[in-house]
Amino acid sequence: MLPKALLVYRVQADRVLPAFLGEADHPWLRALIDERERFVGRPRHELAARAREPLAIASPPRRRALAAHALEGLARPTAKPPIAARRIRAEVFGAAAAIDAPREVVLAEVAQRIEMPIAKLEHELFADLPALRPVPPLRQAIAPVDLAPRANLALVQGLLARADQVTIDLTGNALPIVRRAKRAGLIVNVTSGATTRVTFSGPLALFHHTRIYGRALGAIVPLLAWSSRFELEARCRLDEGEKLLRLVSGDPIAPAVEPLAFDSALEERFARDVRRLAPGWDLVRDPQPLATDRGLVFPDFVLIDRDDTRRRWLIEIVGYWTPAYIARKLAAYRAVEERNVVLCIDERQRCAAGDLPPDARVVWFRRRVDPGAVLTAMGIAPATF
Amino acid sequence: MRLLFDRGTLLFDAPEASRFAHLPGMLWDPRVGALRAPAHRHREVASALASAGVRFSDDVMRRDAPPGPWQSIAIRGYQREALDAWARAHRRGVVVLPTGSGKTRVALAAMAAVAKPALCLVPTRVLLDQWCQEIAAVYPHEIGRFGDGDRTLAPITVSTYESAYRHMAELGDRFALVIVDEAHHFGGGAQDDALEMCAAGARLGLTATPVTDDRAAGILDRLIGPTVYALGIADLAGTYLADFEVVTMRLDLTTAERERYDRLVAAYRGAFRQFQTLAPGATWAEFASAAQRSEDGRAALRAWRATRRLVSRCEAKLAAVSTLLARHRGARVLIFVADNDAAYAIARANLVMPLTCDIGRSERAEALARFRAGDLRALVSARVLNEGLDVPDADVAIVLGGALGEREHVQRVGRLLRPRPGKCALVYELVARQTIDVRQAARRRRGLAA
Repeated sequence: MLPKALLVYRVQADRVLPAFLGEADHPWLRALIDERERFVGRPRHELAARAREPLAIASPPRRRALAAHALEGLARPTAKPPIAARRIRAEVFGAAAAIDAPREVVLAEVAQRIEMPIAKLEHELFADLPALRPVPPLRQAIAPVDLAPRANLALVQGLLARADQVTIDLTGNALPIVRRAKRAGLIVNVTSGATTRVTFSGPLALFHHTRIYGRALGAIVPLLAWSSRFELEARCRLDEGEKLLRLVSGDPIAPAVEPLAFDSALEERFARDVRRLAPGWDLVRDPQPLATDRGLVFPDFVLIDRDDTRRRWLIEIVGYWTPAYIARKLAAYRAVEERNVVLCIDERQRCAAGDLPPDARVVWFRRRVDPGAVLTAMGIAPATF
Repeated sequence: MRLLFDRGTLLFDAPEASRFAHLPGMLWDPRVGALRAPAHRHREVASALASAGVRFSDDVMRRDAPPGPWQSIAIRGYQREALDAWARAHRRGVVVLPTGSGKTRVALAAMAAVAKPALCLVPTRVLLDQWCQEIAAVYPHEIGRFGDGDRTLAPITVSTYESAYRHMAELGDRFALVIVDEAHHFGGGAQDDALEMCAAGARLGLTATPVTDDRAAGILDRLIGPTVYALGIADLAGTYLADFEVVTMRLDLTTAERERYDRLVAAYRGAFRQFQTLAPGATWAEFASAAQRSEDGRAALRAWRATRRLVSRCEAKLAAVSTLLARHRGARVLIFVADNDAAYAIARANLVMPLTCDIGRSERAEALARFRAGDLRALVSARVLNEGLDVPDADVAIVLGGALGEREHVQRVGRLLRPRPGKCALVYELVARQTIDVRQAARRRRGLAA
C-alpha cells in the first residue's frame, strides 16, 4: 500500500481531490529521471539521500516523492546479491570470536587468509545489503509524459487501498473488469440502464470498514481505460474522515496493457481443449453480456455450431455460489430465452448435486474443466467432434 | 438450510431470513440475498441455531484430513496449568508467560490435545522457521507454511500474520484451532481482520506482554478470548528462568552532540506545542499524523527521528559497547539497538554479527547456530531478536535503545533468561543523561517490574 506520506491530495468539503501530476510537472519530472540515471550503479542509500534534497528545478517535495516511488517501480529486478559478502562476514566475525586481538589485527589476518586487501574486505562486508546494493537501471527509458500518469495511478490506487467499496458507471468493455474483480474475491453487483453500473466490495465489508480489499479495488483502475467512458466513486477513509473519490474518463491515469484474452490458465486450457475436441463448433470468448430484468449476466463462452448458427450454448464458469444463487442465475438466463446454458461449478464448494435446481446442466470440476463432459452435457455426441 | 463459509464470512442460506436476523453477528446482505456473519462467529451461530432447534446443515468447515499422530510432549507444571485453564475456558483464551518459559510447548500440547487441523500465526519470517522446526521435533508429518515465499498447506500449518491477512479468505474454513503467537500485536490493527475471517472455534493466544489498553483488550477478548492464565518473570526467575541483574550506565553526550540535541528537540517540541494550542489535549500520535501533511510538520518529525537516532547511538554508548564486549570476552552477548543502521555501525566497529531483516534466512540460522556453538561471540540486532526467537543461552545483554517501549524491553530481557545452574544474567542499559532516554529507560524498567 502506498505510504500515507505519498498520498498527495486536497480535501474539499466531502471530496478528496488527488493532486494529479500533469504537464506543468514535466520539467522537474525530467530532472528527476535524469538524476536517477546519474545514480545507476551507485549504492541505493546515496540515491535515497539525494531524493531527500531538492532538485535543480523547483518541485513539490511530496509529489516528487510520489514520482520517485513510481519510477522505482520501473527499475529492473535486482540481480541476486553476491554470495561473497556472506562468506566474508562468516570469516570476519568468526575470526573476531576466535582471536583475542584488536580489530585491525583480526581484519589483517582474515585479509591475508582470503587474499583480499583490507580496504576491500571492509567494503565488501555488507555490500549485499539492500541499502548498499547498486541502483539498478530502468527496464526502459521513460519520458515525463509517461511517468506522470504512472504516478497518478499509484496515487489513485493508494487512495482506493483505503476504501472498501467502489461503484463504477461504465460504457463498454465491462467484462474484463468484472472478471478481474471476481477473481480477486470481490462481490460484484451489476445493473444495466443507459450505462452499466458495477459495484465492487468484499464480504467482510458488510460489517465494518476494512482495508483488506483495497489492493483488489485498486487493481480495477488501470482496466478502466479500456472502457469508452467511466465514472468511478469510492469512499476513502483518510485522516480527514471518510471522503468521496471521484474519477472520470480522461483523468490522467496510466492504463493497463490490453486485457488478456484469458485471465486464468483454467479458462485458456478449456478453450484450447474445446476447439480441439469440437472442430465443427466455434468457441467465442466473452460474448456480449445479456441484459435481464435483474441486471446483466456474463457467460464466459458461447459455443456456436458452424453449420447452423442458431444452435448455440452458453457456458459459464461459476466461482462463488449457493443453491439460491444458481437458481437465480438460471432464472435470469431463462428470462432472456436462453435455455442452453451449462454451468461449470468448482466442486471444492462441497454442495451436493441434489441441492441444485433440477433443470441445471452442471459440470463439476476441481482443477480443470473437462471439455468432454461439457460437450456431453450439451448433448453433443462425441461422434460429431 | 445450510451454513456455509464464503471468503472469510458465514453465509446462511435460509428461506425466511428475517427469522434468523437475531443470530450472533448475522446481517442481511442485499448484495447476495443471504444472511452473513463474520467467520469467527461460527461457534456462536451454530450453537444458537442448535439451541433454537433449527434443523440446518453446518457446512462451514472443510472436511480435510486430520493431522497425523503427535509424539509425546513433555511439559512443565505451570505449562500444564496454563493448558488446563485454557481447556476450562472452552479452548478460547490468552496464556501469558514470560519469554523463555516455553510458550511454544503450551501451543504444541494444545495442538496435540485438540488433534484437529491447526493454524499457527507468527509475526515474522524468522519465527515462521522456528515454529516449523519446533513442531517438526514432535510432529513427524508434513507441516504447511505460508510466508517468506512459501504457500503450502497441511493439517498443521504455520503462517506469518501478513500471509494470513492476505489468504484467510481461502484458509479460514480449514482449521479447527488457531494459535496466535505474540498475541499482543492484535487488538486494533488491520490484521485483526485475519482473525475475524477465520472460522476456527478453538483459539489460543500466547504472549509475554499482554495488552493493557481496554479497547485492545476488548478486541482480543472477542477474537481470541480472555486471559486465562498469567505468570510474570518474577514468578519463574530462579527456578524455570535464570536470575538477572540490570545495570544502568548513565553516559554524557559530547559537546557537539549536546548542541545538536538541543537544537533538534527545540524544533520538534516547538511544532508540537503549536499544534497543541490549536488542538488542546492532542496526543503525540495525533500530531505525528497531522504533521505529515505540511512541510513544517514533516521537518518537525524529521527532527524527532534525528533526536532518537542521536541518543541511541551517541559516541559514549558506542564506546561503552566496545568496553563491555572486552569486559565480557568469554560470555555470549546480545546487543540491542534502535535501528538497523546502528546495528551495522556496531557490527563494523566491533566485528560482531548483525541479525537484521536484511540478512537472509539461512545466514541468520547459521549465525544462531554458530552463536550457540560459541563460534560467534555476540549478535547485534534492532528487532529480529526482540520476540520469540529461541536464542541459545546468552549471558549478557547491552541495550542501547529501542523503538517500541517497555514491551520490547521485557521481550529483550527475556532472551537472557534461559536457566543454567548458578547463572545470573546481566543486562546493561545505556542511558544518555539529560535526554529523552532517561524517561524511556524509566518506562522500560517499570515494564520489567510489572
